[in-house]
Amino acid sequence: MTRAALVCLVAPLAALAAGFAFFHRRKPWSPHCGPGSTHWPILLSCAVVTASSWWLAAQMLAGAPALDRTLWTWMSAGGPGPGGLSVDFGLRVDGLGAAVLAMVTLVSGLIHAYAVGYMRGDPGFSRFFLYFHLFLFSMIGLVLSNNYLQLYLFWEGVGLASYLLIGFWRERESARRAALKAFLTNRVGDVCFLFAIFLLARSAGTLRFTEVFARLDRIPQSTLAWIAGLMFMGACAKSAQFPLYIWLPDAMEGPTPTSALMHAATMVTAGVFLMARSWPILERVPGVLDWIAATGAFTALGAAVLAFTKKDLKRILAYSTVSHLGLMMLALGAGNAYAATAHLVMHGFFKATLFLCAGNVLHHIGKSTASVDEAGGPTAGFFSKDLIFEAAVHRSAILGACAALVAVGSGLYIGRMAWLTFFGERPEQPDSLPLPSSTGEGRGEGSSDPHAHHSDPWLEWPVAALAFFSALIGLAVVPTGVLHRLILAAPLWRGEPFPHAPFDWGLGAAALAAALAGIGASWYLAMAKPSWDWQWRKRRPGLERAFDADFGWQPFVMGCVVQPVAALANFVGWTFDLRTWDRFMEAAADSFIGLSEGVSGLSRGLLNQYVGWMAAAAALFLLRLAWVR
Amino acid sequence: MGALTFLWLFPAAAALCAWLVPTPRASRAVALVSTAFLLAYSLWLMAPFSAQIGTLRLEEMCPASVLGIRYRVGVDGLSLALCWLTTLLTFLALAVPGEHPNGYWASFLALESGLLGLFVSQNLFFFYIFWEVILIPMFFIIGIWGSSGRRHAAFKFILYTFLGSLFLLVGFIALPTFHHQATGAWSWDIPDLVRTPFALPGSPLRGAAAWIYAAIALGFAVKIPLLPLHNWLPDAHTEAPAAGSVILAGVMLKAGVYGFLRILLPVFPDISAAALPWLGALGVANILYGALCAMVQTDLKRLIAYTSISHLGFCLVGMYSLTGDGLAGASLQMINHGLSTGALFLMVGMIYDRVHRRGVADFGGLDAVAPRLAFFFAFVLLSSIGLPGLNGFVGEMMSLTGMARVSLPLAALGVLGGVLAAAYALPAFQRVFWAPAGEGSATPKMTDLVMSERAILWTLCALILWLGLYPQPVIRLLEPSLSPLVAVR
Repeated sequence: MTRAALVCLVAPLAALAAGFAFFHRRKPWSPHCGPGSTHWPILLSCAVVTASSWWLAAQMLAGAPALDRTLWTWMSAGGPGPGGLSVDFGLRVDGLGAAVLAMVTLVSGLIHAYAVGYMRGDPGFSRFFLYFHLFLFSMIGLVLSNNYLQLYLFWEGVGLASYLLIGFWRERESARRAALKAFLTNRVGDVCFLFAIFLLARSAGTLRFTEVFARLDRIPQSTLAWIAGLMFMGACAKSAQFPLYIWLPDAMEGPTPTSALMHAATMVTAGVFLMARSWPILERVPGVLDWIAATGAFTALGAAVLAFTKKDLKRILAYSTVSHLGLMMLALGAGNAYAATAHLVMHGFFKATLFLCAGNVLHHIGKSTASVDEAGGPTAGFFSKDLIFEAAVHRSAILGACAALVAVGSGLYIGRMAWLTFFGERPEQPDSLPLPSSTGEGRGEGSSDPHAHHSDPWLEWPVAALAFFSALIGLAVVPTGVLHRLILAAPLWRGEPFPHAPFDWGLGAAALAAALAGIGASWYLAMAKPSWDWQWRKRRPGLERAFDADFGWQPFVMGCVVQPVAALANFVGWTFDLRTWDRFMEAAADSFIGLSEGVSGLSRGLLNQYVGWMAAAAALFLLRLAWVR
Repeated sequence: MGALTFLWLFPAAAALCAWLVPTPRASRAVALVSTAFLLAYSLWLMAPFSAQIGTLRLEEMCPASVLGIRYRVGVDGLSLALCWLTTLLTFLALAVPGEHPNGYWASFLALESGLLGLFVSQNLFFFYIFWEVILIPMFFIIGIWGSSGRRHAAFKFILYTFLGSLFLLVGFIALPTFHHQATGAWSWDIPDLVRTPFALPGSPLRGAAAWIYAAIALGFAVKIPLLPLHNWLPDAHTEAPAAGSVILAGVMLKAGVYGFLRILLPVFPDISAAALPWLGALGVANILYGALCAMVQTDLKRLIAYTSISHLGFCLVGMYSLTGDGLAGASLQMINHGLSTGALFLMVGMIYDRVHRRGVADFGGLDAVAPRLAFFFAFVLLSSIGLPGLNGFVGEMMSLTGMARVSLPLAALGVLGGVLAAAYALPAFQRVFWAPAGEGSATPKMTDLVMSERAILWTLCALILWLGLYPQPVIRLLEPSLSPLVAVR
């Protein structure tokens, strides 16, 4: 098992090194290097990694014990125990890790394959694959980490890769801004997470998961609450929860495969994974759990509403991701880490499918070839969503109601998107057409690509495969309890806190009804009354502006956080440091020169004057001696 | 002649040689060969350290002394690490292709001699002599071979640091005097002074000791530099030639931190513990202030200069946590900052040599013209903003964990530096390398790195990566020098 886990880390590294060293010999990192064949070692690595991670999952499912071993000492100082710090590089494979890893590698592998078709002809083809694979590598490392600091390393690696990919088309101002926004917002969360790590190092004296969780009894409750809360803030940034979700909708400035990878497999799942990993800490602090549930419910609902109002296909999907992540957090807060993880896995499959479909739509504007695959989305997500629904209802009526509302809402926005995109042929309102290219909101990447209208097998088969896996796993793996057994295999959670309930037909029917109600309503609004969508925009421009600004949260962050910091930097850097303090010090030095010129008047080389000074000094000295005696 | 005497005398002799040879080309050859030899030699010095390293090694001392003043040298892990940093950075900085007169090469060799002498001195008197000696070649390097504002910057540098040295001198004279009063014997030897119990609580000299502490701390603080005595640094770094900035930021600033670790903390452990909240807070202020200033800079070199202020704040934070991990983090941060900031200054120098401009707004889209440079710049910049896996993170992380043991608020403020670091580094990077070039941009004149430049940067990047993933050998080297300073367990 160690070997399989190591392969998961070494194969991507080798592929990256090969891509970097051999295939870029002539023009390394040049944006002008041609398509070449850099992607082959990387695709090979994807295949290897997927195979070994599924093998790992099979092992875990077969009842193998968890793997947890140290590879080498990263940093260690101050001796063992609470007075020092000792962190290793290590590997951990357990049910949770194996389940997420299996999803991440399979989904990412298919998205890599899709990207071959999508990025063909782009001048930065090779560079793209290096960044893309770095993204996957970081996520694999994150899932396989056996301590918090190593997890943090890959956590930041994921952030870096997303920064590079969002800003991939760097000539565009909007891409650069979005990349910066993503990195900085994530850094805010990272700093919170890092501080939680400091607190852990201080109170537990170790950062290894097994050891930390074994010592939780010794840590005071208030410290635990801080640790859990700060970690949740970190997860808020990565998993796009309410105060820090702002980067995600902008993040689709990157090429579509990036969005697919980011929304499905590699980036946003990291926060939920961290929370599920830290479940032993979370379950001890019910207050923080309530807060997590509230944040999740709020984010899920708000994002569902916003998704319903957006016109850009990818933007709708982005907000739908935020909404689904809110549901996962809701599940966590409601006390069911299993439901959250299951939904994470399912969401990975169907969101990747949806994004690739969106990419195909952008690619084949006007040709709705992907409408069949669309169905894979709701099907696969249904059962895991149902789990959350159940968890929420068990916890409290309010959360249940929230989950139901979100279910209706997601039915609404997904339905609306599907209807409008694939069946909504309404040339009579050209200003309100939902297709990105015609609203002007889209970045028009389809038209910038010379191959836009080619039918490329690399664009077709990965989508079909993803849809197939979504349906397969949604229908076969979740309800039969296989996923449940896998996620709960050899857990760090003690006992078995989340029993697999047989499918509750009542609740399931309710969830199905909610989703169907949403879809029905969206059909009514989009198809039966097609004018509704642009009429409310025309009639209530204020409302539309409010929706566009996410109810004012985006401008609030700009005005109350970003601009004050910039103003402070301006004040400190220019007004104070350069114009005041530096000038004062230079003036002081100049006045010394003036002083010294004055003093030099005393030493004009006249011997008698010197003798006078000496005599005076000697007299003073003698006087002082006499005084002391 | 002992190994350590040879270590600092050899570059002095080479400096003389480089000055006297007839042509600048020959002078450059002398400089390159001798610095390369010194790099190899200083690495070879580690042979006696292969086993457990605790005390001073390779000691040489003159048996006779005048009032305790005598020649005494020796190295422990901390000194040795800084010697390596000196020889490495001097060699790499001089290896960058360029035409310079004899005096330039001679000055750098003299500077190297002074720095190595400083790091191996075990007698306070010689420590001070070397401390002053390094100012002179650096004054010439800035004042003669710097850019347009060089004279002003050179005078500002020398006045500021000289004023600091005066306080240092007062403190250094007081220490042996105290030692004499406490033990009845004269000694300027640092190991003796460390053992002196004169500043213990209840000692009649305790009141005076606090003043001596302040004077010495002030002298070292100018060098680091600590707020608010930092004004000389942006000017000096900006105006110095690239190699000068590399040595200035990479090694000379470390002399201040080294002074704290070698003299101040061991001699006055209890005053240091009492000063913890103040100097810890000052370190945090350095981190935040330097980062905020860096955010608004328009000159690449000035920007990097302010990041030095920010990064050295971590050294102070780690040191004054007085914990094992904090002290190790502070020492690692010295080496890490030397490598990454040295590399950054080298790269800005490579840009400046080609187009004679270095404003952030003078460029755009550089990664299309110089993709290799873009890669190296991004790599080093990420290390500088503390991306885990690269070296910068390890030092900052350990410093802050140490501080988190003794003061959570200070650690919380210090960790904010991470956000600010991204906020100053990435916009500038995007502007220079990603954004389209504007009117009158210097980008078209730019060319990519040549082979030798790439070799230099690969060396630094390899070290950056190594120290980011496996710093443990260096920590093991440093720890015995630091463990006597640990007060908080």
